[in-house]
Amino acid sequence: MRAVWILCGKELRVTLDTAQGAVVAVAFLLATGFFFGSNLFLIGQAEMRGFFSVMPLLLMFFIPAMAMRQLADELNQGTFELLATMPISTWQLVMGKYLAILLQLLMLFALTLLYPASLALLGNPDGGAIAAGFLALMLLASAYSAVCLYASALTRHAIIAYIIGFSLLFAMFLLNKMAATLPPATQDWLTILLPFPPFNALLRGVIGLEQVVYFVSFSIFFLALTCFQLERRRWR
Amino acid sequence: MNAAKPDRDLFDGRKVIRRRAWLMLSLVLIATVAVYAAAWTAHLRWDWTENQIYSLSHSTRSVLKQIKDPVHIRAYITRGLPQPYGSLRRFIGDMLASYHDAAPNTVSYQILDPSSDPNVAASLAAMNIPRVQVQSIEDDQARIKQGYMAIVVDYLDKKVTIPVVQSETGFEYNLTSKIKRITGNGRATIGVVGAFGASGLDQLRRLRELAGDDYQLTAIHPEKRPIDKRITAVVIAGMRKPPSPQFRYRLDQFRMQGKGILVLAGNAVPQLQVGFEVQPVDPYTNDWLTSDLGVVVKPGLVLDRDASRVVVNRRQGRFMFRSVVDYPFMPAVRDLNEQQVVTRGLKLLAMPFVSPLGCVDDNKCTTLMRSSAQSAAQNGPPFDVNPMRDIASRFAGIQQSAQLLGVVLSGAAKSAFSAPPVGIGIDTAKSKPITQTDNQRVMVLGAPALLDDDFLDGDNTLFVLNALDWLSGNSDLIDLRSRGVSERPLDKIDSQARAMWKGIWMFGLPLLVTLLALWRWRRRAVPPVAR
Repeated sequence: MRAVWILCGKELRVTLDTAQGAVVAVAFLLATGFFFGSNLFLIGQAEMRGFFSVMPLLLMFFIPAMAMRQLADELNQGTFELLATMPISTWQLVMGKYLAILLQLLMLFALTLLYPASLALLGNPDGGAIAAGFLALMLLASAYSAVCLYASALTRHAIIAYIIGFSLLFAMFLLNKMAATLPPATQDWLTILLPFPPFNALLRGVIGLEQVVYFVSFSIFFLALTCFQLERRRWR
Repeated sequence: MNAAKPDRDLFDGRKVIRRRAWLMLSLVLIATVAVYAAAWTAHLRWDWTENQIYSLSHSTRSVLKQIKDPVHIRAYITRGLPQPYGSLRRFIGDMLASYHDAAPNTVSYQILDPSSDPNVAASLAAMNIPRVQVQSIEDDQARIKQGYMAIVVDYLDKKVTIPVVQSETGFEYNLTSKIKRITGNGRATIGVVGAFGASGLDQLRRLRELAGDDYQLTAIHPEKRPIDKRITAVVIAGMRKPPSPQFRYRLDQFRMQGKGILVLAGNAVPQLQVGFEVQPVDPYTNDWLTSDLGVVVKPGLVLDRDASRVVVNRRQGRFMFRSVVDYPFMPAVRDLNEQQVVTRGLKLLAMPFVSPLGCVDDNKCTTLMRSSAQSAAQNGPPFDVNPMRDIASRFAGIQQSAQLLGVVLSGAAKSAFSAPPVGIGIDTAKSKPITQTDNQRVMVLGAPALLDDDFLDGDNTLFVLNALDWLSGNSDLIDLRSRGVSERPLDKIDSQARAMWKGIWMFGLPLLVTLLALWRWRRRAVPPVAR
């Protein structure tokens, strides 16, 4: 586990010390600030449902940007081969990278706690429902991150990794949107397979074990796929 | 031969790696699916909402505990309906399981699919339960699919139905109120006074729709004959003339029996059919409230800077303009007494054309609601209620303070009459007047038009239904009705403060991150020695 944290710390330092991390953070906070504040006084309610409901789409643009260079750069610069010679397993490597993205997201979400704090000053929001909303957000972000890390393992080029990651997420989003036009049996399957129905269920303020397990399983599966993709390089 | 051996070892090594990778991926896939399936069947939930609005409420548990004989709930839900009905089926199943868990000895349930048995469909048709029509896409064609989403509750030889469950919202209240009604004494009767200019039953169409499920509303005439014994509460909405002594005496005796009275009284009633205008009531109309109940309707109409919004249509030439304006004569009332069961859980009411109230003895009145500190009373009549007039000019030079808009009188009280009025035709030797009660139940509101169809929506609806429940001594379900559907309004702040908050939300955090990044880069750029 120590190796995982060392890798994670290294990735976090890289993010904090380069312009890319700051640019992504500033753009993310500008967007969330806009979506939170633009209609709040018009609606006049101390709630964050509007903010949370736009986040699946918003994260679709930002998480691929955070994850795109994690493995693609290692493959491109040849440092992946160097890492492969070290006493560190593929699984540890993937977990280190994954935790770095999650911690970066956690820091960003922690900053957005300003929004519920200010709502508490301006009204009487339902703290429990908002806490559940942030938990849902973190779980969705962890699922997105796993998908985007997998996309980063598929190519040597960061930009292509971004496009693949975004495309995978957007395809899921479109499937969810067009679910209403599909036969009922297909709709039921999509409700089980896509991350958006459990995310919306959590936004109500009720934490269901099946939803939490869904996101954890979804993330583990894509992390396993990422490991598999990296392992493939060793037998080809 | 010697060169071929390492190649073969390498090939075998690759095969091992490949097998191991495939095995790991398969194992992870199986494990994640198995754990997810286990979590799905375990169905554990934690309700984080403030009032646990998605968990079975205390009110429901209390109703279920009082049931003595078995109640059987049957949910008729067609399988294979498109979303969101598929999820709704699961929700209904979970809720019915919770009802059963709360009273395992008396409540049982069953979920049936009517499409699998033609006899079931026929029995539903006999109960007048309609099919739900849902659009479904099959083979790239939009089709209308028919199905059932109904609940039937059986208790002894009685039966009640919820013909269509459309959403999760209000499901618990709906089902619990049906169970309460079928296991209790049926619908209570509420009398509506139509005399002395008050809005009669024929004018309160929306109230009839809303309360008709739980209450039987009936017109009464206390000025002509005694109030029927079956009646549990009386509603008097906006009298325009002073009531007769007979009316007052019979109402007083009704109050002395511990039965509920709701009085909506003010100095003017709206005339919305001719625009935003009000008609003043007779100046002596509300004097009886002071002498009989100890509640004073003070002069004027309340105007509040914290106002509800209204839509105003204006005709200019051949064109019609629609504007949404803050209307000070419809205060947005947020100061609601949380201790009172009627207003508990409610956050915002819109009180139309409300008059300020007062109490002869403050110790006998309980405040139900007050306007904001930025409110005042406009003197009149005549009253200038033009919605397009600038709010700032209305408040110029007026003393502003919170106004009392609603009170509750409960507990012990004495009759306002020492003897029946002359000419009422009551033989005091045969029926002795009741002179006191330990449990009066009276609510007085300064908004005579609150029950009008135009104003009965949003949280006003919940408030009125809560009030009817309380007046009828039927408070079990009040908390249940108010939970989860209340608004959470933002405090009123001025435009400068709004702009400041928007600026903080949009640019505050990005600026903070930029400054932190610049600080960190600058720190790294300066060598440690120089630092």
